[in-house]
Amino acid sequence: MTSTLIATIALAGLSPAPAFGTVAVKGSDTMLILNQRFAEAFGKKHPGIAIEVTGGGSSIGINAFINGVADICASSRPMRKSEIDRARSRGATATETPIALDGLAVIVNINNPVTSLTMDQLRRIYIGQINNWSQVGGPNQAIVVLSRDSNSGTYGFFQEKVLKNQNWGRGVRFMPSTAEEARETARTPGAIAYGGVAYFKGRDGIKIIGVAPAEGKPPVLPTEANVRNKSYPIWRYLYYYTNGRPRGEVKTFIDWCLSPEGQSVVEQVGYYSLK
Amino acid sequence: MASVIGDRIPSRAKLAARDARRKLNSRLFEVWLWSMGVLITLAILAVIVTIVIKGLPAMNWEFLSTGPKEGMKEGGIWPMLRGSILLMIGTLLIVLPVGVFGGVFLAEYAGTSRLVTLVRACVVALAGTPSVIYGLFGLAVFVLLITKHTSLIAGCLTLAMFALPVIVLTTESAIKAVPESFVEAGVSLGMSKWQVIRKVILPAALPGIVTGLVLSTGRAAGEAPPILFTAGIYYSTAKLTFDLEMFKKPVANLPYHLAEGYRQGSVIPEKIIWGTCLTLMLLVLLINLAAIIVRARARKRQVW
Amino acid sequence: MKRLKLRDLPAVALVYLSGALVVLVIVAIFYYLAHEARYAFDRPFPYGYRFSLQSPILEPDPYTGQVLDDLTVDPNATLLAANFEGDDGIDEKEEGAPMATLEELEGYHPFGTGSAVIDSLDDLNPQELFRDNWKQAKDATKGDRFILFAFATQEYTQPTMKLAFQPDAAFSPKDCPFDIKLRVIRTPNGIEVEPVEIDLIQNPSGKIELPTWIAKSDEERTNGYVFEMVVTPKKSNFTATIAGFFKTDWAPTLQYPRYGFVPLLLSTMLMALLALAIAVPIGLACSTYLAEIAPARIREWLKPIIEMLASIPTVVLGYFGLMIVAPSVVKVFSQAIGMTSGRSFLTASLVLAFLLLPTVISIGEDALRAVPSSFRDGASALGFTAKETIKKVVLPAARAGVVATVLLGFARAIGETMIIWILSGGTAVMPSIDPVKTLAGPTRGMTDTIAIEMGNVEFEGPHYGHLFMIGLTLFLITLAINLIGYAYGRKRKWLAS
Repeated sequence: MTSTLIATIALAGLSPAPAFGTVAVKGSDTMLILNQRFAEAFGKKHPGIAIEVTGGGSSIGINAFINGVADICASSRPMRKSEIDRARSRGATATETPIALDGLAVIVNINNPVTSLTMDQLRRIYIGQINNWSQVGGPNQAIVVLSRDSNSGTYGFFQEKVLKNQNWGRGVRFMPSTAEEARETARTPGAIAYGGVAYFKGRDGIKIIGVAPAEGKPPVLPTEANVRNKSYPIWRYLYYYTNGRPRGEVKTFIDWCLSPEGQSVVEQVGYYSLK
Repeated sequence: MASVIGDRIPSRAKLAARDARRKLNSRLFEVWLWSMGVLITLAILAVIVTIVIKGLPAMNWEFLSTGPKEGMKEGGIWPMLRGSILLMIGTLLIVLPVGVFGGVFLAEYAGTSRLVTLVRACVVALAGTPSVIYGLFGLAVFVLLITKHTSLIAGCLTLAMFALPVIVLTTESAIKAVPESFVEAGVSLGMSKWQVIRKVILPAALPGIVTGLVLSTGRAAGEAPPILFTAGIYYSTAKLTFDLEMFKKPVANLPYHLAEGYRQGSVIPEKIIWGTCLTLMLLVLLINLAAIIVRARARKRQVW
Repeated sequence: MKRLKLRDLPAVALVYLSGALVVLVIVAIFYYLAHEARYAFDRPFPYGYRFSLQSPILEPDPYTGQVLDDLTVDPNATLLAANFEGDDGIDEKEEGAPMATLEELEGYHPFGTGSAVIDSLDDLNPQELFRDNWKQAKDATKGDRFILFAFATQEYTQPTMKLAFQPDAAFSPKDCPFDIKLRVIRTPNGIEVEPVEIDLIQNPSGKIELPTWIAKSDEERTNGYVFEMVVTPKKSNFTATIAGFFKTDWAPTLQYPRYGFVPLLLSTMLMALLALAIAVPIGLACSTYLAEIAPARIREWLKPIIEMLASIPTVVLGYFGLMIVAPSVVKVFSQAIGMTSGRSFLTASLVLAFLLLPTVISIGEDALRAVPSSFRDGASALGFTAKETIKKVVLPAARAGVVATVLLGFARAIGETMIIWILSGGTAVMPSIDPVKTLAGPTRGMTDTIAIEMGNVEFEGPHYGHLFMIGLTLFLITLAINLIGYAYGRKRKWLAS
């Protein structure tokens, strides 16, 4: 009993600010691997500054940020206006720093003759309006549509960017990881899937196809150059949010992330470096 | 009357045949029940043995004593193991007084009124409430309402809520199992009610209480949903220290590591996942083993 | 017993306090789940319709072979919508985009539609014409009004034109708590039409044929047909939210979110029932063996092993299911029921059944042991065989206990999170009437929805509130089942009769 009381009192009296010398990075599950790699590499270089990485989702990060308990909020989506307002009302100014560039590649089985799709065809496939490859110039074969599950930031991004916020078709199967998508696509002749380019490079049994930004425009492959100059249509930034301009240890960490050394970690994880 | 029965009595041979059939039938039934018992036991053993076999290649001292490295692809799980042990100890410390005194209250002070019956029924129902509900509660109260962020203490409190009903119930039944004659002896010595409880009932019921405590904290330590939103952390380069500061911070722990490992898919290699599974299972099993030993020792000393 | 001594008082107070705390916990769980669930009722109800003029002669769509009816992707369509946040999830450039001028339309499209962000035609400023009209979504008790202009350009030669309308992608009018009407409020000079009023909830998509009217200059764009879309409330926010909760569509991340939790509820229930159907016969057989037949020596060996299963964390069992059970299930059933992935209803139910075994066995054994041995003695005195004793005497006498076993097992099954999360496949769909399809396909229950989605919701927003509503529902269901199970478990049928 007493210990509960003490615990409760201690709990209520906790100062929310993390201890001196640590940087708490919270947020997006999409960026968890990137954050972890950053922390690991940074830790070797700067043993004096501890980095704590937590996942759970963009909103857990954003909420922690609003309450001032995370130094950095990692988000795979820009903050919503309502969230920025809430942060401001508690005295935090959300400052956005793009940290990496992400391009989503679309893959099909290696034996599929289709080499490109338009954004509109892709949307129709995922909302279930097109369900046979013959409708997009392929063989007469049913399309097996694969997606990431709703827990991933990639899911939301694809739904927004490609599906124009329409609902997924009934036949779409949701996979827990991009690797699983690739494996399933390699063994299913009619499959289509999407995910970060790096996951798909050099894998057997699948091929990355081009995406045409609009009807009548030439298809674009998600090469580094095409994602960089934004001619490839499915790309996004990954962000770090800080309260005001980064200062002190947070600045040291973010500066390191943006340095060539940090950006090589970005490439290693499978995203594109900013430059 | 007699003639009616007499007409219905079958011949001796028929009776013998029917008896043989009944015996065979019963025998088959017994074999069926036996086979079900054996089947289930074998299946359970198979699962445990599989987890052990799959997990053993990863197991070594380094795996248990170092942190993850190379992007979680190598290294060990010490921070997670430490976190799970801390969560367990914290949970135990919080739940111990409330659970035990709550049990004493239900067994000795609450009486048998309808209200108390309802409370007892509710405690039973709480013991069967899904752990994800406690997770939601912990998120709403300990995280969002009180501390505004995830931390070890929020996780401990959530797990303590989860373990509480079971401890109350086991304490109550352990106390009720103490023979009435003990209480009478105490009373005849002129002890007050509380003195009887403290000097007679609690010592006699101690093994049962300890068993309940240990079993339910062990179970709590293996539950992922309550700490999913309240205490988990994925990776940290911070030095692991033991101080008060530690309670304010989230901790890496085994169930969370497995849940995130699943979410991230294929980032953490299978070998490490299996190793983590085995470690978590062994941790809970060892605690249970401790409980079983306590119970067995107590039984030997028990004279009533 | 002597009266309380003064120095014992603190200890006794502590005991009472602990008792009170236990009661408090029950109340607190209920209170805080309900407290957080209230955010669900802050939900705005977004709606949106697209409007576009079309020629009566349309070309078929190259993909579907049908005439292109889908205005969702028509770049010329005007969208009149109230959205949670105007810019959220939509290409930001579309907000505040001006209405197309005649010059822009030349050689590209013979029609134009647009809107002005005004409440009444008298406020019209011809300089401020927009293609789309956004409003902040209101709660279900507040209405709204939109104005829409429609005209053709000089390139158009047909005598009539059609105003096509349809709900915006992912907006489903039948879930909408508003009455939405479309009316013609002004016709161009010299053109008379029958009064038009269309109920956009009953007829969410369709066309109105009108005599062609051509705008000759940019100023004239507002002189043509003027429509209004009037939105009036039909329900209170509370009833609308509750009604939305009991719908069959769970799609909370959509721009027009749907929070129907019936598929989650049904999937959870069905998975639990299938798991019980497997676990109860096997488990009860095993507990009968342990309680009635097994020699003490064997029992002492078997019981700890079965109890060991109860101490395997469920997340570990989930992994075991994913890596060991799922592949074999696919191997066995891929041909028979066309299962393509191991993450399915069937796999989740199988592992769940396994999880239930220790619960079923230990409660079942307790129930059987509670039957007085005099019953068995009586039966054997009558010359009953073991089977007859069990089937005709012991099991009927333990019926209440068996019912309790099933109920408590059910409560345990619907509350399980990690196994369902890892093995269900994660797709929130209504279970199909075709059992094979349901078994082979992916699914998603209540618990795993909470666990999966909680990390990505805006805290204290409507989605967050709905996850707590699910939690509250789950809590109440398990509470009820556990209470009934407890009552049954205490009942001694042979004492009553």
